[in-house]
Amino acid sequence: MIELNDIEKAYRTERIETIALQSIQLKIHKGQFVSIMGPSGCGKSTLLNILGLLDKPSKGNYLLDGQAVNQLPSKKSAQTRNQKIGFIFQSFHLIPDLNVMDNVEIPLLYRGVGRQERMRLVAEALDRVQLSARVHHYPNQLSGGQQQRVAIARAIVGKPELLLADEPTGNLDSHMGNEVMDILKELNRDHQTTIVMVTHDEHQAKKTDAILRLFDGRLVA
Amino acid sequence: MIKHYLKLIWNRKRTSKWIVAEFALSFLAVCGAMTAFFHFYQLYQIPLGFEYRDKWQIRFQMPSQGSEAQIKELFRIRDDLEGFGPIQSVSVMQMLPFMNSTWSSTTTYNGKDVNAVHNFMDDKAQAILGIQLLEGRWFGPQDDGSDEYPVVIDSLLKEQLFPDGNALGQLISDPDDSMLKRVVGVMPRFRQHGELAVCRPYVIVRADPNKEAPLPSRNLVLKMDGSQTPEFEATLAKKLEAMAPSWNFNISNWIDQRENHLKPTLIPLYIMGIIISFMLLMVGLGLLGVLWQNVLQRVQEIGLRQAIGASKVDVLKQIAWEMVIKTGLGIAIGMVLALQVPLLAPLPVIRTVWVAAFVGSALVLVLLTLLCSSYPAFLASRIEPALALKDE
Ligand SMILES: Nc1ncnc2c1ncn2[C@@H]1O[C@H](COP(=O)(O)OP(=O)(O)OP(=O)(O)O)[C@@H](O)[C@H]1O
Ligand SMILES: [Mg+2]
Repeated sequence: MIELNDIEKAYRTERIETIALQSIQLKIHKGQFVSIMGPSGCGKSTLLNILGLLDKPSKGNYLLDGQAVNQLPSKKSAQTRNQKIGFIFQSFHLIPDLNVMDNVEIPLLYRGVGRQERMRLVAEALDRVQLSARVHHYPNQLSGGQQQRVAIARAIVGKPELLLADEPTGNLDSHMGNEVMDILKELNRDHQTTIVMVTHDEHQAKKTDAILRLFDGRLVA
Repeated sequence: MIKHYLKLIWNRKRTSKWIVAEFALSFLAVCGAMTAFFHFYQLYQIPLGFEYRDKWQIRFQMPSQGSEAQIKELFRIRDDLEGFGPIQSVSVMQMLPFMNSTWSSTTTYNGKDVNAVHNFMDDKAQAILGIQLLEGRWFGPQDDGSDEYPVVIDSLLKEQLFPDGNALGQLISDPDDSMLKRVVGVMPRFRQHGELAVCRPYVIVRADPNKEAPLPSRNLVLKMDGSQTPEFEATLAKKLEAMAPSWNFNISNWIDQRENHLKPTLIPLYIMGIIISFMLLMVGLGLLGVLWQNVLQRVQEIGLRQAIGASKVDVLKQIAWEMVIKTGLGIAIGMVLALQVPLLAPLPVIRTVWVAAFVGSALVLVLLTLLCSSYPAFLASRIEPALALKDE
């Protein structure tokens, strides 16, 4: 599903060059649930952004589903993100002026899905995260755990093959964090969705199939 | 997608409404200015009905008004001036164009009354003014000795008084005097007050030295051959003093007369144009600022939209659409308000002018919006999702 060959990412500002990632070799199979751990600043988010086509590596090859994607033109990569990838962020990133329903359907709007089908998919996604009763709520009327579940519904509404989660439980207490983890586990189990999750929580990481450890931009065993 | 933008705008109405209000008011202002502009432009397109170049005028002030001897004297001066220096021919005219005075009176035909502007001109006036007749003839010696007054009317009066199209030979009267007027000719509109004045029905009555007139003529129009110089005015004045020592007179040319007559209309138009341009500039700059801030506030949203599938073009489109929707709402409200104006106070403006002003102002505002949102929209499309979505 995912194959990284010798990926390197360097950030250049006027004076300083930061090597955020180097010599990354990585294979993730379809249906795997992988977590990435490592100290702050070691490059976890950078790696996730490259996996999610939000950022381009400075060097190396990235094959997604056997297709080289590291040099896709921006329109194509937007399309790929829309169709194949779902994102979950630590701070949810819901649009505060839209209700749950309207937030969740956005990926489908960019895909040009018709209204009927959109309603059906949104209802299905909200059902998965057990928020069917909250469709008309606005984000500020929901708890943090509920907001993250809305964000998960938005990530999975288009049935992506790959789910990327950057510290999805980072802003939640352990109870709500467990709820979110349970949903991710279910998705992985029921739909064989490939999941890559960055976490600082050893306890959550243990629930996944494999743990990748990053240190100073390198993968360590 | 547009429904999605509408939802966003509606849910952000607390801020959106000010932009909408700004556009509603701007529409009113621009529409008002455009109505005035198109109104006068449309009037300007209508031919004047006479030739004003190479024309001089002499206005006499006579000690006693309107005696028969004086009228005869005026016609004598007219004949004596012909061929003097650059003067080609001379005509007697009661009301001069490009002046503020008008003589209007009622014309009645077949029980129908139409208020029309009246004037007296002599037999030579048609040639001197270059009036093109549509039907019939101008006055001439064949009208001598009749009790009736031969008149040439304009096409506007003809339409209103003779809707069936037969004007020639008809007798029209005036309830305020005993003159019986026989229509001998029809001319296009005659625009005594210049190109920027609204057209009014017009009647030219034959000025006849042997006939009594309710308002005696006191003016001469000189057709010059083109070689006249400003210095000729003094020569002419000397000649006139010798010819009519007891009369006061005033010489001017129609190019200056026309210019001075148009000024009171043109100057407010210029000022309005300048004010509206400044207003649009202000609105545009304000809009640019508001949008810029709007984009900065929405960096996360824009980053997120890109992460979940929006292309750069989608981002551009969204910013532009949101603005166009707000502008459209503002314009719609402005239109509803503007439509109240003709309902409350009918303006002397034709419908095509209204329609043109509505469409024109809407276009100007939409263009302004697109212009002002293009840079902020470009900024928005440059937002890098990886940076915008950094969790801090
Ligand atoms: N846009 C950028 N410009 C310059 N340097 C950057 C940029 N983004 C990240 N970096 C640097 O790259 C390195 C890796 O950053 P990254 O955000 O991937 O860390 P992280 O592992 O996600 O940390 P955390 O656990 O705190 O989220 C850091 O040293 C960071 O300062
Ligand atoms: Mg991070």
